[in-house]
Amino acid sequence: MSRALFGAMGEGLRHLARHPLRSALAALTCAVAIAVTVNVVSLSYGMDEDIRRDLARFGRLTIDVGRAPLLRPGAPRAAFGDAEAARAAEVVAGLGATVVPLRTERTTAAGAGAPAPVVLCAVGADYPRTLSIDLAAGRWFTEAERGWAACVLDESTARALFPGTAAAGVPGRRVRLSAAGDREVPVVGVLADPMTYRALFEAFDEGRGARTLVGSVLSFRNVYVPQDALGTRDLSLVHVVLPDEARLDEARRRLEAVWPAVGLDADPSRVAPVNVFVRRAWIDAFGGTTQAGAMLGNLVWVLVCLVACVMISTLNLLTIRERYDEVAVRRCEGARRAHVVAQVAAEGVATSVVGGLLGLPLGFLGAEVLGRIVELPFRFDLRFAGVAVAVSVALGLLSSVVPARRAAGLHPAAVLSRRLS
Amino acid sequence: MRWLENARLAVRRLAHRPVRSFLLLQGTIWGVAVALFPTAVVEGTRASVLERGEDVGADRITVALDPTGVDPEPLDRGDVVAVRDALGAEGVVVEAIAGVAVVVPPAATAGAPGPVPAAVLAGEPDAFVARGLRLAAGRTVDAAAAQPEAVVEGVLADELVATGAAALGATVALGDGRLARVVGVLAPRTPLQRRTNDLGFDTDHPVFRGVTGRLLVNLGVPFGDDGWKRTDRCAWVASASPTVDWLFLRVPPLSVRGAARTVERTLLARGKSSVAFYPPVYPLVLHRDLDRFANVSLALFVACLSMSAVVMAAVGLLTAMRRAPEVAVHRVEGATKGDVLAQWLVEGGVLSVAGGLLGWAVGCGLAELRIALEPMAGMTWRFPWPHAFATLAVAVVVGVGAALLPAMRAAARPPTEALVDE
Repeated sequence: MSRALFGAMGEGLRHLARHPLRSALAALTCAVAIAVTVNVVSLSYGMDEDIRRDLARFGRLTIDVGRAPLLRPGAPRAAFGDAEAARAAEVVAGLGATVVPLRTERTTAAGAGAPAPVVLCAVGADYPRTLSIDLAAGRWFTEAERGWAACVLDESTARALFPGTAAAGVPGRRVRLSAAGDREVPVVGVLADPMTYRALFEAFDEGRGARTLVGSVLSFRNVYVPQDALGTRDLSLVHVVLPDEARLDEARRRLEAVWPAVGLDADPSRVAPVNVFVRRAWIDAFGGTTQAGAMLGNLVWVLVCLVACVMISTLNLLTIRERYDEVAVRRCEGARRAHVVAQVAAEGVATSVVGGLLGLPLGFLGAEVLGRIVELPFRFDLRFAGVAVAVSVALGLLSSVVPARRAAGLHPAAVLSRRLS
Repeated sequence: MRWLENARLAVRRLAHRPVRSFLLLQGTIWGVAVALFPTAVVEGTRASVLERGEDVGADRITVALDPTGVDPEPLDRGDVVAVRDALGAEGVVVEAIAGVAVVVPPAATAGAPGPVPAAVLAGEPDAFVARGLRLAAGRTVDAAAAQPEAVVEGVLADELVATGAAALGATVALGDGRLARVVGVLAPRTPLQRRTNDLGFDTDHPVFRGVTGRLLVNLGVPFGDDGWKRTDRCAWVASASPTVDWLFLRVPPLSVRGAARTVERTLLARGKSSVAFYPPVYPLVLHRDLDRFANVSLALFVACLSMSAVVMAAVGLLTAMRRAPEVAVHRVEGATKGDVLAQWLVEGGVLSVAGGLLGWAVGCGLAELRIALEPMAGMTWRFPWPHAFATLAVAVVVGVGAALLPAMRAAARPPTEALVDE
């Protein structure tokens, strides 16, 4: 880059200093746009990231086999019990799979607070392997613990049954389960809540009553008891957990040769009585939905940035009109068009960088205020702040180059003669 | 009168540079639009649900046995009574409740004298009321009649008429070898009602087919092989059988959320595991759970309006400099500082009113677009006049405020100084 070009850019910066109020107002516009960008991007992409991370803990290497969640009155109920569990184990033999049967029932549980409806899951000691979730407190029950000898609560269930008690304080307490004939069952552990946005989920989970028991298990409002607590041979699901993705694919292929896969867009009249459900596909599909939500967030900040761009461009256009004489004189002094554009672009970029940097604390403040009044997880994320400053620079360049090119394109003699006349 | 003259002058100046004025107004336009359209959708839907909740299914709860629990106990008539009593004990107005057993007869029923119903729904004689249906002709069935009687839905009645017979008095095959005499015809459902499922979604809407339907399955909502519900081709007959496949319930829309919880609790206490369907969006709208999102649009409104104010102030300062000679001449002609100040403030106000009105139009467009993309059948929008005037008022105050600094500068400059400079 030539010295003249640097000189032009320096002149641009000096021009900004000569008009501090005007420059400050332009920078403030950028700052507001950047504050909005930082917040919206942090909210939408931050939530998307969190939800994806949560979903990854829901058992990516688990395949569920069970009755189709299908409402078809009059149709005979498909047999699904210990024989099918044994069949599933036989099909995936040699793949290092763990087969975990699940029996579910709706029940009412009472602890220190009011009784609450929960999903009762009768499972084996291997059940934690179907998920990637740690215990928040205590332990899982052992093979030796049978019947109603012990139970584990989901963290959200523990909060509902023992309000005001930390997870660590729940093991050792007892819960009364209506499914157990109202007997009290000792709590031995609390499974950590894998849902970052539990409060938000609870507030808007209006369709919870429409979910089946099997569908409700992954809402993590459960009470887990040893598998023989529910004295039946009937099963809700069989979980098949694989050690890695390659063996997951092989197990899926083998299981789908016995029972069909359930498609998300299946025609209900053709859904088979027993299906194979691959959690990885579900997690990816769900992740895709949250990503679509993040894309909608993009629309908001792009709209705000576009509005800012249009307004700053208008301001620059008017400002540069006032400076046609100055541009003409500079052109007469030997400045090339590129020098004029560089000067104005330098002004635009400097304004937007300052505006962008001002926008970061403004964004931080906005995140604090919005987080309190909207109760959404607005947060200030430095990674997205970098993106926002880059957007700001682009905004400044875009909104200054167009009017600058127009000014530089005018013939100096025409401008000055009009002035003199 | 001077104010009027100033306003006329301001409008002329804005009209003189329409593109510039339009560009300057972008902040106000979008600020007002984003503040307006979510309120338009929420208020419109709230009014629609409260005014015609029956038409959009906002007053209905449909309950079935959860097919995924172990050893499920089937629903029976005792459950219907228990639910009705529990709701009554909680003071919920039960508009109608019924339990029906569903028989889907084979399409080619031997000996069928005419069209075969999509499903035969056996329950209380007036069970159809719990689905929001009403008699258009005839009467309800007599449970004690020697020959089975049926009340048929609108489309099935039309098909019976198409065979050349009157619908009333015709016979339909019940699928179990019996024939029922038609004694009543139900008012036909609207096309939208025929497309709407128990969760309130328009099943033909492309967004439902492409996104929402899959999302529901992802969320654990069961597949429903219940297309018969939307055909308007069912026959309703009386039955004393204890079996219940579906429990239909109608309560006021504002009571739906609480009633659904009561149904779940009541059935749970009776050892039944059920799934209950109702449109999930309406309770969120009616109970104002979505109001927290109004603050997001308020924040965007503030952001857009702030940008608008800042840029309008900056442009105003530039204009004050450029129009200094004009202002000086005006002052020499006898205008006071107050006149100049007023003229500039009125210009700012007129600019903001124009932006606000355009913002209303854009807001309406966004609301219309939002509703077009919404598969929930009862969602609509309505222009929220009080909210619209409030946003417009704020936009005008901000616009006038932004004009204040340039106005003061323009008014403060001595005319001689400005004219000498020129």
